[in-house]
Amino acid sequence: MLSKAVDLSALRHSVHVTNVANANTEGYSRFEVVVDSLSPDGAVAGGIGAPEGRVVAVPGEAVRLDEEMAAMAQNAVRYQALLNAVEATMGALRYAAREGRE
Amino acid sequence: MGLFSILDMSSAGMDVQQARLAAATANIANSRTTRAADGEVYRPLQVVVSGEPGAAVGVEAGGVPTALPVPVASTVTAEDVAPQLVFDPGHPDADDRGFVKLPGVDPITSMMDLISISRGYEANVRAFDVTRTLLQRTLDLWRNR
Repeated sequence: MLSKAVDLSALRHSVHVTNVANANTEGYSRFEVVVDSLSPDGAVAGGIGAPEGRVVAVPGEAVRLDEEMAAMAQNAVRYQALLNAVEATMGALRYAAREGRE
Repeated sequence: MGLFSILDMSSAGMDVQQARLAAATANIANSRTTRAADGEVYRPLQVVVSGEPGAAVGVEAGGVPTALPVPVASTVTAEDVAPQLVFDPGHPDADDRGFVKLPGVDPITSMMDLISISRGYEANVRAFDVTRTLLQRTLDLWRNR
């Protein structure tokens, strides 16, 4: 579940970078990531599914550098928060694996 | 595919801005060139940026690989920019009515281009930096084992 969320955040970052790099490309319309389904294989009991993203082009919408940079910064914070969660999970597993000893 | 290959995307974006900078500075420097290499009045350079799907960075989105276009710049001479006619009868290149053909380089547009190039380059550097930070943070997961 967590790794899916990290993947989604990395995909978002890739799309923001692509939009910034193509800001001056003729006829380019920006890409965005839509999350429209919860993957069934990642589903946990209780109906909690892992997010699954899809890259789509937004026709006719040009790249706006300021918006793109703001979204990129926001997503970077989210990515790092998710990594903190991964770290915490790994710490708990490590603690359990050592039978509670430090 | 991960975050690593997206670093190439940022560097392609920087290359594009460098090509635009080269064209803009050449236009400004040659704004009074009446004899270019072909002996005619200098024709301003223009940069056309196309998204190349062939060199695309692929991403796995929901199991479906999506090709993200990589920007590629090509510099061409602008054909449809009319030269400016300036009255200067003493100029060696003046025609029989006393008019000299100067390149159709608009200084205001050129300066605006420079600002846009600088912003674009900055944005790509920043994007590169963010990607680097994210990669570093991911690698640091293994440090505190």
